[in-house]
Amino acid sequence: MRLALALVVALGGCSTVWDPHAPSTVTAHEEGGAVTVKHGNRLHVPLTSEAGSGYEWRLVEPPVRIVVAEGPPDEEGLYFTPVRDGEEQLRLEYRPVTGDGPAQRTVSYDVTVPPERTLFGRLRAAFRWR
Amino acid sequence: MGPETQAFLTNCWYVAAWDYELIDGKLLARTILEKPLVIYRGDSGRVVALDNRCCHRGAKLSNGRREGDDIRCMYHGLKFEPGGKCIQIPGQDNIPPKLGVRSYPIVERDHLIWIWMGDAAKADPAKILDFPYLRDPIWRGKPDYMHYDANYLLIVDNLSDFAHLAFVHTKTLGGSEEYAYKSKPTAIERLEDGFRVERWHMNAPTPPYHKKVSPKPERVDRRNIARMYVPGIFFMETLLSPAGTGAEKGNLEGAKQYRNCQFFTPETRRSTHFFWDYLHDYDLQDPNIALSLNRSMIEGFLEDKFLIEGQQEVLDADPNFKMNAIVADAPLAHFRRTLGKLIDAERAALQPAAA
Repeated sequence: MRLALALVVALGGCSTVWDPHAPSTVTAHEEGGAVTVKHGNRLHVPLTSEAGSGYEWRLVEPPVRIVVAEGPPDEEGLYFTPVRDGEEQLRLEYRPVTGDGPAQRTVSYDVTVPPERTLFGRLRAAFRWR
Repeated sequence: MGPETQAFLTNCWYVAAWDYELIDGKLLARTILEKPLVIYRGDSGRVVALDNRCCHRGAKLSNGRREGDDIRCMYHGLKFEPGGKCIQIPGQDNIPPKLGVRSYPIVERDHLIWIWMGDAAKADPAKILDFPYLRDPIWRGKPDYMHYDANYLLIVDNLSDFAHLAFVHTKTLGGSEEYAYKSKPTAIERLEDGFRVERWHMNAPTPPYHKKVSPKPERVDRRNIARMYVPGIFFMETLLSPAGTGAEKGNLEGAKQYRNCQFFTPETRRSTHFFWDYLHDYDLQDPNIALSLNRSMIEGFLEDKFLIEGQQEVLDADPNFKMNAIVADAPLAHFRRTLGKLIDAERAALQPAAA
C-alpha cells in the first residue's frame, strides 16, 4: 500500500517557460501515504480548505520536523522544504478555524528525506552503520 | 508569442519609463516584453506608445519625426496618429482603413509612465499600485533607471530575502554580515498579489549609505518593511532609529526614515528595465542628501547587477539546471506560485483563440 501510494506522487512544478530553473516540487497524494522528497526540492501537500466551511488544515505533528512548512496553507495546500535527513510522520487535521470541536478529517504522510549521496555522507553513514 | 510559450504576464501594468526620459520631444525606443516600442510625449502632453515598426516596410518609428501628437516614419513618410492609425501616405490619397500600428494603453502618474501590454479592453487604471511618496512634498528623492542583462525574476528573488544585504552589500547598503545571522524576518505575510516581509535588526552598525548623510549615531535599530507585488513591483519602508531608544515600541524620536520603490519591467526573457527611487523625509532643503542616497543605491545596485547578471550567464549555460530550495525561499516561492497562476490563467484564456 505504501509503495502504491508512493508511486502516485508526482514530480513537477518545474520547467515552465517563464521559470525554467525552478526547484522541483514533489506533490503528495491528497489521501496521505508515503512520500520521499530530496534536499533542494519542495514538498507540496495538496490539502485545501473548502471556502466558507469554517474549517482549515492544521499541522499537528511532529513538533520538530525534517521538513519545514513555508507558511500556513493557501488555496493550493501546504509547501514544505527539507532541512534534515530522516523519516517522520506529518499529521494534518481538518479542524474548525475557531479551534473548538473535533477534527473532521485526519491525513498522515510518512515523509522520507534521503541523505545526499556525497562522498562525505557515504563515509559518515558507513561509520554510523559500524 | 503564443500561449504555449507565454513567458510574461501581459494583462497588468508595467512601468515603461520615468517622465524625465521623455523630455524635449524624445522618441524613446524601448523593448518591453519582447515588443519593440516607441514612446513619446505629444505636443498636447499626451504620452503615446506604439509598436516601433512602420507597417509599410518595417522601419523604426523611433527614427522618425514627431508631429504634434502624431509620428511620421522618415523612410517613406507614412504618418500615424496616437491610436496607431495611419492618417497619411505621401502621394496616395486612399489610405486602407486598417493600415496602422498597434498602440498601447498608457497612464502617467506620479512621474511614472505605466503601460498595459495585454488586452487593451482590460486596462483599468485603478489597478495601478499607488506609491504616494512620489507625489508627497515631504519626501524627496532622485528617480533613476538601470538596465540588467538578466531575467526580472532573478531581481525579484534578490529582493525577496534581505539576508543578501549582509553578503552582497556588506560595505554599502548592508553594514555587516551579522545582519544575515542575527536578524530574521519577524513577519512574512502572504498577499493575494505578492508578499510583505518585516525585518528588524537591533543595535546594528549604522549602514554605510545612511552614515554618509547621517554620521551619528554609530549604532541603530533598523526596521525594513518590504512589499513585493506581481508582476515585479517592490516597495520598502526603512526606519533607522538610535539603538535602544524603543523604536520597536513606537518611539520614533531621533529616527530617520526612507521610502524606496523599485519597478522591474521585462525587456526580454534575459533582460530587464529597472526603475527606482529612494526618498528621504528629513533635511529636505539639502539636495545633497537625495544625491548621496542615489549614488549609494547605484553603488549597491551595481553589486546586485554584477551578481545577478553572472547568475543569468550560469543559468543560460545549462538550461537543465534546477535550483535548490532552502527555507528562506518561502516568500519568493509564494511570489512565483502567485505569478504562475496568473500566467496560467492568461494562457488558458488564450488557448481557444489559438486553437
